[in-house]
Amino acid sequence: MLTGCLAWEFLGRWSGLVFLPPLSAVLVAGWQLLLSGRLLPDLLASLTSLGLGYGLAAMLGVTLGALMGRYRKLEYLLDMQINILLSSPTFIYIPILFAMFGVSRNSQTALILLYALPVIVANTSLGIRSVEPAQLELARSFGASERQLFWVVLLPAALTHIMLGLRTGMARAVKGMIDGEMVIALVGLGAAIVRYGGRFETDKLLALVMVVVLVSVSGTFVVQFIGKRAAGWLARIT
Amino acid sequence: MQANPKFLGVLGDGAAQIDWRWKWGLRLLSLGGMALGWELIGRFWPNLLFPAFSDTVAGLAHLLNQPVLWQALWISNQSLIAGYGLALWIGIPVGLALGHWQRADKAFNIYLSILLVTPISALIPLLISISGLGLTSHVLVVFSFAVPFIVANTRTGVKRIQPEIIDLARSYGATEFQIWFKVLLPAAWPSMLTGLRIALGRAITGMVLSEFFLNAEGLGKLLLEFEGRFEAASVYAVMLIVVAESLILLRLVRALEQRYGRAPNRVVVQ
Repeated sequence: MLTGCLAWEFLGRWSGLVFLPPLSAVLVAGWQLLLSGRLLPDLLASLTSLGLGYGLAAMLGVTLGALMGRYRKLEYLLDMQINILLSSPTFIYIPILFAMFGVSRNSQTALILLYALPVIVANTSLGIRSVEPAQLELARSFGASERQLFWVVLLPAALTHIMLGLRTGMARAVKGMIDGEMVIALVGLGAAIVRYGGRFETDKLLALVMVVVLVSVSGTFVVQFIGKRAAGWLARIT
Repeated sequence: MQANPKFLGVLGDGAAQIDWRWKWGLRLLSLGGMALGWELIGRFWPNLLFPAFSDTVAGLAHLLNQPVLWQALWISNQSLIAGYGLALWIGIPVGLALGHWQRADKAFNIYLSILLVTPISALIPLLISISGLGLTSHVLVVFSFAVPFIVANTRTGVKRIQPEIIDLARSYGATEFQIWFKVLLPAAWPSMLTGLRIALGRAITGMVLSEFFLNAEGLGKLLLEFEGRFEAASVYAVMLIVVAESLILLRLVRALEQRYGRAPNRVVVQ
């Protein structure tokens, strides 16, 4: 890591290319952005949509995925849509969202939801379906009800898959956040990135990219943390 | 297993296999429902930006007959082919190297992980300042979208190989070159193929985004024309075409994956 930073610094200073400012310049630009108060509003706007969109995606996604994993008929009802969303670039559905919500924060949140939901659903349903039938038989033989089956057997067993889906979903959500903001180009990190790119202010641009990476990484950590807490809670109530 | 008397049980146990008639019937019902919903929304809330299903289909039928469409598709897909090809050419060797050489892996894995979670679209303005707006930058964008997944999955494939096999090959006097081609490549093949499939999806995304953010040459230009003339049905028809293309391509790769993606039973060492 350190060598990478040093190499970046050296190459940046030596080459003097527009698109490769030295690491120090990028860090300075980032710091200045933070101080001048221009970074915070964009960051906050982005994070609000992200939190809302991802939160909805997580709740909806795990519920839907669990139901789809458990009940075949529901799965076949919706699996084509999920597959289409997984296989096609979600970016092209932006015009539909604009038509529905206009150019507003709502469409941004909806976009983030659309980016994250399919992965979460797919992974959750896969996890539920991977639970060994033997375990289900065993629980049934003890007289477990459908509800108990879900909470005591299925969900805990599918937890690794669900967590993977949630983490991947977070990365997808950040991508959705940036894509949407780059298109609307009014507020948020993506908008700022497009602005600085247009003005060739590459130091600020790269500083913002680093912020985005930070958001992505910390978002994944948050998901991981909440996931572990939820797993503990689940184990305690059952 | 007893069927649950509550209504949810009627939806069919998840573990049980279901009649193929139900399977396709439900899927058809679902698609039909979507088409109907689309039609109703389009008709009852007439919106300049949201055509009804029937209008879109009519637009699609008309569009498929225009040579402009096929020309645009060809132009756009050139960057897809070039970018994806480049990503394969560079990504597979790098992935093999990272999986095989511990030191390189320790040094570079963190950058790979970062690349995997960053929205590559955020890097597009950077790529513009590197290579401008022409075909090169389209290719570069597609490349950047695809390459992290190829490298990551190839690397995982190599890392899964048991070290004993490589040692065995070495003890038979295999050269480094032979190890790469006869041991690493075949063993990493299943993971690699999965990576290729994911990367193709990403590459298509890259193609779409490059049409939007860079010079709109092929499909992008067509879309802009339709949007300028407020031909919403044609806009949505183009969208459907792009979705169809990605579904078809990914389906193809998945079929390849299922046919050829099985790990070889023996690793041949000469």
